[in-house]
Amino acid sequence: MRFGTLIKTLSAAAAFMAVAAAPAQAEEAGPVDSQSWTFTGPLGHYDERQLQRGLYIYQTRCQACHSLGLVRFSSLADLGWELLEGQTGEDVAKAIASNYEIPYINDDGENDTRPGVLNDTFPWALGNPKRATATYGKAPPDLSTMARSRIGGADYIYALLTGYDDAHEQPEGAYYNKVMPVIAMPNPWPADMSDFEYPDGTVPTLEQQSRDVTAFLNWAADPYLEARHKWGIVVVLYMLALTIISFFAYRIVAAQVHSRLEAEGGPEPDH
Amino acid sequence: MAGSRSPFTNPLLKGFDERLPILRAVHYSMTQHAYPKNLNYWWNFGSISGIMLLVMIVTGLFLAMHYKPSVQEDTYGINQAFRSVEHIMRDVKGGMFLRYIHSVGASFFFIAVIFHMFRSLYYGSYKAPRELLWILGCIILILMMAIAFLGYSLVWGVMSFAAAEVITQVFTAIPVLGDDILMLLRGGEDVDDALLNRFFALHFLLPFILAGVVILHILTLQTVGSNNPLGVDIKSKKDTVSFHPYYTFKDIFGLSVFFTIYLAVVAWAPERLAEAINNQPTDYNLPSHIVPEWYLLPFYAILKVFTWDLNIFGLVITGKQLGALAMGGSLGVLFLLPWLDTSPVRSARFRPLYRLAFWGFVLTCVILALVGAQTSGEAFFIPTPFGRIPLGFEAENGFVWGSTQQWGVLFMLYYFGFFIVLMPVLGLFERTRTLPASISEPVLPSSQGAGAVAAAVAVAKPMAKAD
Amino acid sequence: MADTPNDVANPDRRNFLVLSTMTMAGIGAAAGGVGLIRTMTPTRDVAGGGVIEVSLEGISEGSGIIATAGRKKYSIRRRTAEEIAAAVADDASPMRDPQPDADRVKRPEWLVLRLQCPHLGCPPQGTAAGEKRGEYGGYFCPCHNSQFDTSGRIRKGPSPANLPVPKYFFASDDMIVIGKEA
Repeated sequence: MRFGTLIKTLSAAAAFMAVAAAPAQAEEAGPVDSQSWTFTGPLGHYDERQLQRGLYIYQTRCQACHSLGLVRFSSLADLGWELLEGQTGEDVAKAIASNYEIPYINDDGENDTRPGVLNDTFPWALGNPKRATATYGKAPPDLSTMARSRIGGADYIYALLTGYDDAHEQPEGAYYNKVMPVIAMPNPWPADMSDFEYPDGTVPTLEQQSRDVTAFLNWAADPYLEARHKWGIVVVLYMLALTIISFFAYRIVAAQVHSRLEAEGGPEPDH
Repeated sequence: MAGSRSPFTNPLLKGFDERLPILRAVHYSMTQHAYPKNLNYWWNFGSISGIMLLVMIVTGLFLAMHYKPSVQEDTYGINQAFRSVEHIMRDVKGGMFLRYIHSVGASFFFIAVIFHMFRSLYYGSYKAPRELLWILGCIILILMMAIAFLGYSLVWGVMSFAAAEVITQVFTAIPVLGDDILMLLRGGEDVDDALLNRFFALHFLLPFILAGVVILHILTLQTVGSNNPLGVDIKSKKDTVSFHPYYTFKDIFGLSVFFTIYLAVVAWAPERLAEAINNQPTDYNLPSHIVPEWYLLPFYAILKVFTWDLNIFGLVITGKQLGALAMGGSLGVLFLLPWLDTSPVRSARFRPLYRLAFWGFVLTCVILALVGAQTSGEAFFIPTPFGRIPLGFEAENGFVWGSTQQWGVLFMLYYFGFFIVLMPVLGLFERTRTLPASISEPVLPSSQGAGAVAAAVAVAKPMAKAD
Repeated sequence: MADTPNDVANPDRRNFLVLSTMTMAGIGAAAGGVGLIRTMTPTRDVAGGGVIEVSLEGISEGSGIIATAGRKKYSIRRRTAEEIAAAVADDASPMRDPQPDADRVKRPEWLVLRLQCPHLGCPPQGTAAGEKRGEYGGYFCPCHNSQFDTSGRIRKGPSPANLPVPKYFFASDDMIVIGKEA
């Protein structure tokens, strides 16, 4: 079989796996349309302003019930803040952290809270799974890896956030969402959002807010995406260079070996 | 295998080699051992598999420096094992690359080994005198499947738990001893801390045993020699070439192509081949749809298609036992392959019917993989980038014609039929093409001179197309 | 196969291609090795740690507190006038590890030390008033009887050096930061 056949087979296999690996699970969910994000594609990167707005939405609309138990405040330092003279991103992250109360056991052995520090993760207002379950019947999930743990990723979260229809009749304690027809999570968006403003003046439409918080959650789940994409460019360029040069090296070695073979043959067979 | 004299002139190398002759063994196998000169690119997957094993062991070692096998939950309800994996991804410098190179690497290790095995199947590399070589390869495959399953459990996400729960349950199908084996695997009634810890220990140990079997595999290869695309034995010096430099450079080139694709997936689609839901820590509830990693899907399909019990004169074999037996059998039959194939001709190039049967088997593995991924009772479909091609429908009375399960049974029958029926029967009745006298010589006796070469070329061309 | 005679007869071209392939593959492998070793460096959650802020409020003269950063212990002692005088007066005495008291404190009233005996690493006693402070009224190591003076200098016993002074600075009059310089 020739090399071309091999490549064709390999890419057909890759294409097949890409299709087959998107399992039948999607059946349970409703339509998830794909959106355009800055972070998809070979050079995909985050829009830092968008992440800042997303953090703001997370703080206003999500964190009363949800947590980001794997996201350290220190990682907020890289969100591209507009810095004052002498200020660092770390200082901003520190300031954000100190607004949170982190539960701990104090020197007297009692439950207490202290201001957050860089190494802390976003706390859970509901405290722990038991209290969350007792309060809501079902614990609101931690959002740290949400964008990685649903098929469709960011598209799924966006579709869910924009998929509420409060006019739909539902049993007590359940809500209607076109992505998940019976959902325990209430609509995060109040009917009247006219008094809500973004600090940077962006017009806070429902879609805008959903996009921003989705981007933020994608960052929370995959904070080193940009580094990985840049790494990918370097590594793939290097590998292509190695592929090309090793191909020519192989060809010239092959030519030499073949000409010698014709003259004297290869090693003597064992048997 | 090594010559009695050290081939080295450097006094340090020579002195070392005279006291421990491993250098001459390597030197001999690289430069003196006879390899067929006509190996094609499909033969690259052997060395690629070896390199992938190395990549997995090395990245695994460094991952183990940060991983914590504990189900202990924190106030977020996140278990320590899951958290430590995320710690690797977020806090360890370069840890995200390390983890993805390992997790994507598992898939690519399987890709390399699967191509390697299908190559062996196509060119008849399992036939005498290479039976043991093939059997060692089958042991490698089974070890790999076990290691991959153990490693997948370590994340302790939703699907990790489901996999551990379901696969350990399979062992209860074993009569009498089943429950005791389950208890030994789990270290208790439940899939819990004890299981996670022993899975970690085994996931660390088994790759080294695997590496040992790989060394045996290579030593066997060096003894019986490589098969080749024509499937005829090496006859003379004219047919052979040493490994170095010809195949060293061919392998470096093949490796480069393979790694370009592999590392591109790491960079841009590291989660594409995995189940998304496993990025959520387990809450010990089984998800509604349980799917293993893609490389286990065909075997999982064979496990799950049995939904009925078998009653042989009062001896009842439950569907669960049938599934477990069939899954075991689907691997076990591979071991018998060298004796099931009765054809004296190795390469499918000269076996037109076997070639059809082979591609049918490849299709079977693909269909079974799809069966493994889809829900049992529902209509089967083929996913394509442009939408689903349905291969079943639900009748008015609610019966599903062409369900996943029915297609699964059909192709499972082909899977076993390929080995148990087609292999022996084809060998007896198939009319094979004329074999060339040797690798270097054309099909017809060489006395016809230049005309024979032209004839050989004419014969070779349509064959190349058919491949 | 491009087995033109030129390729075969051109050992320079062959050597160049073979060598560059080997070099490039080697560079790739080395880069991978560096990446692997890098995963063993302190992780992001511990790197940059070890810096603590300690409030000095409520520490009475002659007493002190122990502050902890990670697994490290620091002694912060508020010295009395007599203790300061004794430390300064001893500057000229023969010592194993001579160092003037002025070089060991930023403000004479406050003595900040890493609480780890240079001998074999035990934590010396003497921080809080009432703990055993040894013959020189400073610190006493219970493991092998090293005696330190009120500046934390070794005066008697096996310790080869003085109790080490960590990096620290006064953020305000009643707050110090240990683990880094201002």
